[in-house]
Amino acid sequence: MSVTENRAEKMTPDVHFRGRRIDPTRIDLAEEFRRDPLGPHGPELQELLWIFRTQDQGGRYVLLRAADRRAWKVARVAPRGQAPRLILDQSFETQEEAEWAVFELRWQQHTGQSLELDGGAS
Amino acid sequence: VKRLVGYVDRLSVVAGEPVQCHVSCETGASEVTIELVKVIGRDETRAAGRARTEPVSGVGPWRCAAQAERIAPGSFAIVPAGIGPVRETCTFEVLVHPTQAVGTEQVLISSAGESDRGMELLLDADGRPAVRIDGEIAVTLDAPLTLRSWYLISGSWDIAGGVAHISASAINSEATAGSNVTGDSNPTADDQTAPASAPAPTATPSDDAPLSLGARVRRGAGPEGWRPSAPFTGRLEAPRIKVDGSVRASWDFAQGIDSYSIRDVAGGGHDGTLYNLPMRAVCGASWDGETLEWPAAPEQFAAIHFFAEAVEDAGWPAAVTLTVPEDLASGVYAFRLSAGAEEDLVSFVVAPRAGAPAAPILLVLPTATYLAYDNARFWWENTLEEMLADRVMELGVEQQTMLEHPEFGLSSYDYYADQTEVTQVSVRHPNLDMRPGNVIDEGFASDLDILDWLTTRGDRFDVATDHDLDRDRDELLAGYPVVLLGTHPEYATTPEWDALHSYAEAGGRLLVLGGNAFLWTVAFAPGRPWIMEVRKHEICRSPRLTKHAETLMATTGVVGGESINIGRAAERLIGVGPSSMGFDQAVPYELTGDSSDPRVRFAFAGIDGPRIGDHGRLGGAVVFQEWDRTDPARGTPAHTLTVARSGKHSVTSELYGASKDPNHAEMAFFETTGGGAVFSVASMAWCAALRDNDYDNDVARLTGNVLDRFLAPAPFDFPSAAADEKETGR
Repeated sequence: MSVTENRAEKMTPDVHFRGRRIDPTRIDLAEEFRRDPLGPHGPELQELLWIFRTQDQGGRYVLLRAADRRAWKVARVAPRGQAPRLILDQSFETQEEAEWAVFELRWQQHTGQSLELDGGAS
Repeated sequence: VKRLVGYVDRLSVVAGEPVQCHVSCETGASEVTIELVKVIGRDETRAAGRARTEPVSGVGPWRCAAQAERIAPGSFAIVPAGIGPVRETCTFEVLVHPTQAVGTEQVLISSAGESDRGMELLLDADGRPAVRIDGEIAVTLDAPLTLRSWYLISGSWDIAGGVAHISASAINSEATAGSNVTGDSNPTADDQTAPASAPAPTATPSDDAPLSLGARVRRGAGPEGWRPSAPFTGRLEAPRIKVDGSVRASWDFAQGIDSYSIRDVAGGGHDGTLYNLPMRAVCGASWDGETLEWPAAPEQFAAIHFFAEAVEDAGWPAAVTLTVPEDLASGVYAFRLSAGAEEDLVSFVVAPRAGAPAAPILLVLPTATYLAYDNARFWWENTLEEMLADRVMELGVEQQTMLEHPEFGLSSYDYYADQTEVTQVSVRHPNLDMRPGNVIDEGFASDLDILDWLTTRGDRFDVATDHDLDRDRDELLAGYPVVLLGTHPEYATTPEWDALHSYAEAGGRLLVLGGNAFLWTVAFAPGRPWIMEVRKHEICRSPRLTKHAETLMATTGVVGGESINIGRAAERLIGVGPSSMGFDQAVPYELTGDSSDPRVRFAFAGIDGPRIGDHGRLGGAVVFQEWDRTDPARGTPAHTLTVARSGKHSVTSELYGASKDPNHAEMAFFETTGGGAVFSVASMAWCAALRDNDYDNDVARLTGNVLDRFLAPAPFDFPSAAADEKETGR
């Protein structure tokens, strides 16, 4: 990891997005994410993701890989010394599907509403 | 998660020396089989990305009973000499600076020993100073100590009178003024919690049990067979033991700051030894607020910071002790552990003896970087990482195991629970990042690509490590026409940097096969080479107010952090230095005008360009993870040719201060005055593209061209004219 000056504050991005909310009417941004979960993302979607990523109340979302690396499972990290908590029972066959599942969970957490996209969102 | 794990006691060994493998097995199997294998590359036929290995005949296999081993973390000092005879009174005194409320007992000084017949000074589960006698709390102060303040604590036991006393007085210290993280006003010397007294036993304590500081210590699995419990987190200074009115022992931590010894200045022979990575060269209670260098005033740095989570040596019994046979060729080897369906691969290097090269190429694997990142938790503990990756962090089997086992230790990117940065890391416990199938595909896992490529090409090469280069220096490098550095040589000691520089200047050829090179200066601990010290104060997020006075390494007395602090910038050694990082989008290189310079024509035979490396296992292109660029202001030689440059990168690294503008990667080449040369591929992901299309691709061709020319004896001409022109023309 490389950094050339004392940028400790910049390197703790949480502070920049503390308290920021997302706009629950911007379904278009969710659709953009669904189309290409691994990016690169447009600036508005990127900002929404930053808000999501800095505000995981209750443990950071992570994707667990089994030894054969064939599947992804959605979990949240617990304090040191505890196993991560599985959030969804299902395994995903692609990283994109798992990313989308986390996006849906975070959307629900931030807006109180589940995402309903045209074209059959899971 | 992994139920079968092992570690080795050293990452590098030469023929005739022993290497030990330590194993813990919780699979339910009754037996573990251990084989020695040679690691020759990656096995991409299996989804997990395993190592390609070949058996080693005539050595092993071994079998051992499957046994679940435990690790007891916590730094401590052990003083083998007991307290001696006590007739009437015994007093323990120490300056204390607690930094963490843990909810369990924290022992400061103990004479309890195996039998528990003795006295302890401790903080109880609520953080209140207390005296424990013969296993029972005898007396406790009413109020807990304020975190991050200094106190003088005194506990005594009047054996004749059957009374125990405890007292605490706050020390008004520059070091702690205003640093009270709870926001309460800082205590002053006038603030005295009322002392307390209570009845206590009248039987005399055992006089020969070892004394310990920072934890209760008994015989068991741990460093040198000492096993800590009830460890303390915080600083201690000037502990003293008084018996029957006179000083029996008094430790001055200002002495031997560069060691793991503590000296008894009372003359009673109560010298002791520190284990499990306590931090020295830290500000004590008498720090004046102005002195920034501990060697100038060690008495102001007479504190030692103990950590309840630190582990230097798991102390598991050795399942195998292998004395490396004389005929075993230098290379990467591993103990392959298996029990039922579970497996673990515990790797180490058999290095050449200094001065006895057996091949024309020496590959130096960056074990300092492996150690710095081993058991890294920052990938999920620091929000920054998901931002930089632009995706949710993936945790493989290794990371899931680390989550359940905090006692396996922390990396140098992590923080102890009291928010102090980890400044020492150790080989002697399971280091789960150093596994071939690690989903964090950096370091050892990525260096397998180099082994793979060299093996496939049929090159003859020796393998050494940072540990060998630090110890053997010029003598190790002498006689090798070519030295290769790995995919991530981020950490190096001063002797290593100097030896590599002398080598290239004297005609050696240095091919750097990675990026993020030579950013940090580190040191291996004298007498304990399995410990590495690193003080990355430039990126330290600890809230403590003394950290700017704690930038000098304890092992050397020299400032730690970035190598440029000590005049050893990467750019001066290899032409390029750390530029930026990005774990979201990879980009290829594009050839520059310099690539057609006749001086470097040898590298580009069969390379069309203008774009190279638009493929690869990591991110799909070769500039990814972390990359470097030239910078004349930091020492890039004036005649350096910048032969390729990456184009547009994503903005994430810039946003989070993790880049140096402009943030592209630059591949560089220059000759040295002694007929030598340096070529830097300048990206950590370069080697992950070597094997594409069965090794028939631009990345493999370019790297092979450079290696072939570097192996050829014809000296490189130092282009003085070209250098002059470049200096004046731009």
